[in-house]
Amino acid sequence: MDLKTNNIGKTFSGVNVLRNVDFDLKPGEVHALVGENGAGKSTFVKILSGVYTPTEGDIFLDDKKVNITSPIIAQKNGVSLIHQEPQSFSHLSVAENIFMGHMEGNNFSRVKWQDINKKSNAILQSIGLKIDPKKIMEGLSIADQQMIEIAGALSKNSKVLIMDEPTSPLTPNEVGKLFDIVNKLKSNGMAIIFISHRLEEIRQISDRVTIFRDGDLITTKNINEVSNEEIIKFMIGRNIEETEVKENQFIKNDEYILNVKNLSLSKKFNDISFNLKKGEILGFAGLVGAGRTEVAKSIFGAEKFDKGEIIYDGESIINNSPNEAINNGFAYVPEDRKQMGIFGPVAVEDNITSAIPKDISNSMGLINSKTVTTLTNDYINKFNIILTSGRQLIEELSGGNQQKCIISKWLLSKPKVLILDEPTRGVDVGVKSEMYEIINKLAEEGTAIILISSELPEILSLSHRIIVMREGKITKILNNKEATQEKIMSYAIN
Amino acid sequence: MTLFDKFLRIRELGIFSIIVVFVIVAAIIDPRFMTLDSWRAVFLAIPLILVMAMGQMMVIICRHVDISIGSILAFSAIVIGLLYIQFPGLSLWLSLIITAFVGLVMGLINGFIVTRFNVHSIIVTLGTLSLYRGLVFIVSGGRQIDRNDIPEHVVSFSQTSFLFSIPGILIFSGIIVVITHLVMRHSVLGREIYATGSNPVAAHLKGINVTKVTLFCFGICGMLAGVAGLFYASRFGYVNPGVTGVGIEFIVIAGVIIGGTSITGGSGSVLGTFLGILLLGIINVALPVLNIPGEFQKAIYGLIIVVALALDQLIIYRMKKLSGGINA
Amino acid sequence: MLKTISIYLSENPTLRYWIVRPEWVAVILLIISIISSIQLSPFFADLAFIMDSATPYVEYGLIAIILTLIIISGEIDLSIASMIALTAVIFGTAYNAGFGMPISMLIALFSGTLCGLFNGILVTQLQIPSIILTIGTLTLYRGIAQSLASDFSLGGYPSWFIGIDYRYIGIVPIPVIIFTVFAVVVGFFLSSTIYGKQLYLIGTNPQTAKYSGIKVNRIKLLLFTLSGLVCGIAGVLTTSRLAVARFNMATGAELEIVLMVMLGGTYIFGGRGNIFGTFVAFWIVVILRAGLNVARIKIESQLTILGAMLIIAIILTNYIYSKSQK
Repeated sequence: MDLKTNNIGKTFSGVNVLRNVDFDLKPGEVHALVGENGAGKSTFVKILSGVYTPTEGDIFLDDKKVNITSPIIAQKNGVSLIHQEPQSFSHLSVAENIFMGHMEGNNFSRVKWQDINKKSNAILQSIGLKIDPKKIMEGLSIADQQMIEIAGALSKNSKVLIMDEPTSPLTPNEVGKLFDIVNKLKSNGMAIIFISHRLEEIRQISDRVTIFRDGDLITTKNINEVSNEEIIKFMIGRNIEETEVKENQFIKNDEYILNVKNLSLSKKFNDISFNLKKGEILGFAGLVGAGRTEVAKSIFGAEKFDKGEIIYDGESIINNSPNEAINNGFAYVPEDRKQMGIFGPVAVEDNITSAIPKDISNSMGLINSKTVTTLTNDYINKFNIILTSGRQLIEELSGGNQQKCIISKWLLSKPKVLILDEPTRGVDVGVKSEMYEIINKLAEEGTAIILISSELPEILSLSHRIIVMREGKITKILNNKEATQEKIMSYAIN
Repeated sequence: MTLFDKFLRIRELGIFSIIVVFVIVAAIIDPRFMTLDSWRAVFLAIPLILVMAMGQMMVIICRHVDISIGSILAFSAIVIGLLYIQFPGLSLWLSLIITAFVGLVMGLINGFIVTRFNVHSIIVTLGTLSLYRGLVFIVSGGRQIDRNDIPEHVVSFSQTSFLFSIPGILIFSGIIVVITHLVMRHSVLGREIYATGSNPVAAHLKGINVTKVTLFCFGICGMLAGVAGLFYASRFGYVNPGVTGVGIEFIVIAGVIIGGTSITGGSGSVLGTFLGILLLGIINVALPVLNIPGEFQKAIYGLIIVVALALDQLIIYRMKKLSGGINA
Repeated sequence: MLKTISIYLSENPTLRYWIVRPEWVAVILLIISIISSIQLSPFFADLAFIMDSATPYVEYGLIAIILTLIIISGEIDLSIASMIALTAVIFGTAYNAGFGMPISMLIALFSGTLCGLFNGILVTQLQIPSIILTIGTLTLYRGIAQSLASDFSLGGYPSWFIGIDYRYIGIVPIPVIIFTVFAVVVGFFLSSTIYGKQLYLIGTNPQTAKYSGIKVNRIKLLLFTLSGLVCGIAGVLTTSRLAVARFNMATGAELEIVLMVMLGGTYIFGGRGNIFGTFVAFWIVVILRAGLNVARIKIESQLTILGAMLIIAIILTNYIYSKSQK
């Protein structure tokens, strides 16, 4: 089936995340979508698969205009999305997982077991998968679950298959198997959209590649006509200006505050070793899923680790809980602001003082509300947080101001090691530069900072050193002088 | 996967072994337990609970709990009892239809509140538990339906029948169990119920109408509790507004949970539930034989629920570990 | 008109914070129920009558106050009524077994604490949802009470112990004083101490609470244990009031206790609510029950009204919270 889009755009509460996307997909083609996190490729495929409805523009299937308003309608039109984390029913059989939602007959019809088992078997065989369709889903590997989801799409006679980073949870061996299947489907005339961060895979499997950046479709190229370096350049942007690199003078001291040795957690990260000086900003670059957040959580005591050692201020320590970590002088600004960063329907001042219970209460536990207000107002003024009063609910503030509140909260706990996980995500440009000033100033005052960020310019301009991670391992540690966006990207991807 | 894990998966086998061990132990301690009378007592005690358990099982499989079923039973029993005072000739079939309808409406009310206002079903049905119980008193004026108010053909329903004199309620509950099995195991809707409980988000994505499925489960659960009301009137020969069906929900829930139905939804079988209820029935009859006072019964049921819940949680944890544990 | 008000309120967070709160519904309901019950019978204009009507509900009220804390922190305890009965029966058994009055009381309180601790451990360590677990322990605790006491009424207490509801200070019965003092103390604890504040934070977002260094599990464990302890106190108080302990006392009390909390505007999903609301709701239940009794509506039929009120209270509270913040 031919798929074309004309001028597709999407706006979320006033923010334009996708603009003027003209895209086309031919039957028998594997079309890769690449772009940095937040470039718009996920939003785009969600529009195609009916999860979002576009704010503007049209979708055409075989030159017929279609209105895709829900996943069900998308599926009925032959467009299926394969989720990165398979959406399966673990208590039901493989055949049921394939046919759930579109079994023959009405509610009280008998399920035609033989029929669906036979059909499932045929589909599974056609993609070269040896699984008994009567087997219960529970206990199957992610790879198998993914294949079964593909089988489900085939059972609905899908003509367009969208695969959102299907390879990221798979082992190399499983990736090979998946690619065999993709090639088979392709030769049968299936049109496939394939999202991946791994350029080698894209080179191996796809015919054309489309690059997204900041909500725009930058270009579409035949894969043979474009080099990896060129793709990376398109992803980052034409004008890679020389970002200002800071001098490393004031951390000439050799006071190591943190020394992480061979930290490992099974299936998350492996053999992570690095050290951190007082006043140093250590950037962590890499793609989503590279394991950076998991490392941070393990250091902060929110998750365990299997092996390794953390030496802090000359002593080997283990933070068994965030509570211990905070008492030891650690602080963590989490990536997922809504789920782990803020108490949404709670006043700003209670949010800001939530990590320092002892500082705002006396020995009896009585809260000194004057202290709460003073401390809050200090930071409201210092960071120029825009709100009506400290009693306003934090969820009513803009993302940037929320983030300033969270950073205030952690600065109040006077951390020696501050971990920032995507601190400027969803923050507008003005606040961003304010945030950079804050971060630099903290480092100058001697706070050691771990900065996890997916925005390369941010990492480059702030960090003294940059650790690049890929699939749970450190692939390179770069000094800021030698680091460039291209270098980081190539270590993060290959 | 170890043998132990396989064993954990086939819960019916586990509960069946417990029953066998229990029966053997009881028979050794006191051979009287193996008499026909004991087993007749077991199978007479079961139908009422079993029928309700079928509905409760469906509700639990789709991730909810209905604790108002005792009150629904009482209400339908009172309604049918009052009708018998007016029309002693009311046929059994008509009685069945009436009680089923009364229960259905009450179950649908539960389901409507749960799906429309998105409040946990236990809190909602805690409310309707009292609400319906109060209605029982209002409708009956607090008066008991006496033995002589229940017509003979209704009483004999739980004593004998045309088929080898097997009590009618036993046959009838057997039919309900078989139908439930067929619906849950083999119908499209039944499989959608499992899918909804197993993963509501995925169910919605696959085009299953989750609200409809949930309403169906609550409706049937209420309907079967209503039918159980008729069974109650037939078997006990009286209906007392303050006694009938009080606390029965916990016995039913206990039976369903030990039968292997997971409280987190998506799994559970009619066979397992049947065995769970059978075990409770056997314990019930075995207690006096084993010289354990009947007062211990509720504590034992309670302990069983708590142990089954804990075990369920441990099994879920173990299964997650086995399958590689996405975000475990 | 309504729109201007809502815009005005959205621009004044402090004002809105004070105005759009479900406990005002409780206050309005209380005023309505007082006025209508005075219409019904002049008894209700008599403060002493209302005070006397309140004594049987004090035990529930005490527990409702602790349950408010538990629900604010995002959990629930439905085994409360069974814990009253169990501790009362244990108290009676201990006393009849020859332990002195003080020792028996201690045993009762201790066993309540143990029951609560058991709930807490299973909820925090095994991660069983509290709403389901406490349905199980509800059966278990009631069953143990029945095993202990059978169908007997455990009595024979010294006369000084019996009838705490007939002791007064002025016109106020001692249980009502206990309840009021307890409400004030816990209310103060919840609103003014750091621990109280942390309960709200846990209930609002347990994840963020954990990442902020709040010991979520330990606090929840403590709350469940405390709930058991207060049920123990309620068990002893009930025994004093009734002069006997039976396994089936306080049957169905979880409805009235949960109703007091819900009617007081505590949010069923946690994070919001306060003791003032529960305190007001306590008096609503008292006056409602007394009014229905005066109107000669059977106690059992009153269940209909209580059950309906519970459902309406939850729906209304959810609605108000969904309006007060988008």
